[in-house]
Amino acid sequence: MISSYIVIFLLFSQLGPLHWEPVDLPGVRLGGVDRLTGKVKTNYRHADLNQDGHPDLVFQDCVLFSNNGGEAKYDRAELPATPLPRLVGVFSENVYILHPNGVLVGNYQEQNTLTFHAYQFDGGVQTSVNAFLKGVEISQVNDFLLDPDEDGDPEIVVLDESSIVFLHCNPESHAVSQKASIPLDLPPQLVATEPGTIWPDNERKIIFPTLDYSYNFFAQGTKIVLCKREKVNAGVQYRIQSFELEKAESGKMSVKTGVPQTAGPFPDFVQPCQKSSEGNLAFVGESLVWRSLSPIPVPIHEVIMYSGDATPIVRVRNTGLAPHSLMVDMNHDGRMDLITERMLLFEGDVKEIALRVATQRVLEHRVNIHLQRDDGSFDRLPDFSKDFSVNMGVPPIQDSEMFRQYQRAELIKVTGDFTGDGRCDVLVKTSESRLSLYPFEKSGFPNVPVLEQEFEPGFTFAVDDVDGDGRSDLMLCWPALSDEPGGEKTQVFVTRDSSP
Amino acid sequence: MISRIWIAFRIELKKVLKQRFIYISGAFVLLASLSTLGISAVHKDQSSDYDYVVRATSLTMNWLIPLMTIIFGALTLSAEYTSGALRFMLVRPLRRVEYLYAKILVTVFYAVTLTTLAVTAAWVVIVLKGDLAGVYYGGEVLFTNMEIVRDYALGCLTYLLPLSAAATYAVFLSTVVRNTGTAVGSAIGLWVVFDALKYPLRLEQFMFTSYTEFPWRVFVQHCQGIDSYWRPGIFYCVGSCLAAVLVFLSAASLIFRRQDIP
Repeated sequence: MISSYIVIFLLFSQLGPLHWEPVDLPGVRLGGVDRLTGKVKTNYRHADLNQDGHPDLVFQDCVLFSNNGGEAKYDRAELPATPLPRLVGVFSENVYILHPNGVLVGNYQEQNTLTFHAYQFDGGVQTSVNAFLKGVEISQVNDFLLDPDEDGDPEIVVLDESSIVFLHCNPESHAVSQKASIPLDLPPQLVATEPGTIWPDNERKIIFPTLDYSYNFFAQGTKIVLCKREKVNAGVQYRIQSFELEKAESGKMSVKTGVPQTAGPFPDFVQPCQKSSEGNLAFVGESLVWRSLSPIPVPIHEVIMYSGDATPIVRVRNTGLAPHSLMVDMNHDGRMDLITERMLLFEGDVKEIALRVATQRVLEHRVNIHLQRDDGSFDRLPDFSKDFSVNMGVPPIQDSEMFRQYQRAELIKVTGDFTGDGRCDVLVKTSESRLSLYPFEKSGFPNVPVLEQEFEPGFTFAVDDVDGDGRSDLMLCWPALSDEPGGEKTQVFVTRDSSP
Repeated sequence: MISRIWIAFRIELKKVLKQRFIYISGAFVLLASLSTLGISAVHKDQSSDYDYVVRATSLTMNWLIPLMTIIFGALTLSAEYTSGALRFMLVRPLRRVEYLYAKILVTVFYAVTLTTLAVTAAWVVIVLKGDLAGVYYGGEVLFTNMEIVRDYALGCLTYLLPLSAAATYAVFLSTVVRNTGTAVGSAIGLWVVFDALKYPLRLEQFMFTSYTEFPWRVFVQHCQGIDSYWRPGIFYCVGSCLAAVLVFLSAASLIFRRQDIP
């Protein structure tokens, strides 16, 4: 079946400056986008382990070494087996495997092999690590390595009930020891529990109130910021505690605790996020209401952003459902920009909406970009807008798979930079089988796409820089073509220049 | 020519003012507008009552007035064909096209009168019984009252275009179809057919039937706290409505001038 995709690709590919080329990377998985960071969830990390200038892919169980000068050919090397659960991470040119008995650090040897060195936990550290490993998601490669003291050697960051612990692998003693610890001074909150019955006796339960230990953790250079959400009468507020880490004598790190702050109160749906690469925090929330000023209620999506106090710095309302991503650094200036989308299907009076739902095959959709200003503010009116026509094949009333994808905001992705110019481009699934790429230029978006390519119909798609060449690539998934139960066909397409 | 059209318009207006239909349709518009008070209560409570204006405008301007205008326009000439009065009208020193233009002007005047009635009914109620304090969300003023009133005023001006197109379209059909019932039926039926086909044929931007609600879109969106823009829709609205007026006017003139009147 893969070959049929390739044939279709060859038949329909156009001679533009770019094209998408299928490559054989069966293990790669791209997940959803974090709505507040614009980052794609992946099951791999990039690291140039063999130092050939082309990034290699590190997975949970293996490494794919780039081969043939970045021509998307890879040699596979298995990672060593360890007790489970385990986390795999990369830092610089090393692979780190954190498992219940210790840490394995691997570095490159000749002929695409890795040599691993074992590090044992110092007393007391193992308990924290084991508690941490039981609570984290281990299906992906994780980011548990930081270098807050900026000495070039990573620290393993582990969270337990009372503190954030920074561990260091000592190459001389081959021991993993604690380098610093940040106490979680922000107290955990009681979580409301479901009411239970007290009668009859045999169904009576004693309900223990549970504690919410979830924190928002932000790391930027030597600064660590913790946010703890608290319920208040008017919604929620966040208690913020910042820490500055510095390298100290005897291989330890010193921790300077900042002045605690409180942000809010905000509506319930507001969450903290990093607004810029300098670590400034913003509090962003989105809500969806079905408002009815006409006989048909229409969805209205609202985004609110706060800087710290209860007065919003921007509030944007649009007709439509939730967009694909809220915060993306569209022009790569280190400041997160706000993305809003508008479903023109729901605009107008009841007659026009009903006619569109019943008869319109090509839906109009608008993407708005609100750039972040130098002072961290946003304009309510977008700086750039682009209207796209999406051919659903059949009217929305027939509830096609394409329309369901449209409702789930799966047809438009704004997080990929396909042209490699440092600006995120907009990739739109404009029909059942076609993807169209609109580059985001300084003056906005062009009227015609820079690349349009046909694929086997029925796909969903995700975007990330898989081959690490600085340009985003595609992963297509065909759930309907699955032969084996629960399976799905996936194919990675890398972005290449068309000119020879 | 213009003076003859003006005289014919005044005579036709006097004739129209004697018809019960226009008073009944005026009452319908008032009733429809006030009936929306049942859905959107209007109170002096420091919060804006634009919801009432939005609902009253949607009901009257998007539905009732275009429908009444089409019925009125479709009846203008077809009724005179049926009764045989047209032959006697044209005995006067008046060209056929001048008489046609006077009929179209009367239809447009009728539509504008209904619109004025609907606007008055919508705004007088909230000026007397409600509040006009701008659009607020979370204590933040998104649109001031002046902006909302300006949106509505611009909407009223723009609304004249689709209304004129609808009037010309209906009078054109009344020159083609001589039976009153058939003229009204075909005017409404063709409107529905145009509307039903415009999206599948991707002609929605070029059909004047798409623009009866467009003039109010910015006002309605602003009342819901949503930013909305006149451009580029206004260009399509002006273009398609003027094109429709020209096409139907030319076709009606051509047909009416050469028609054998029994």
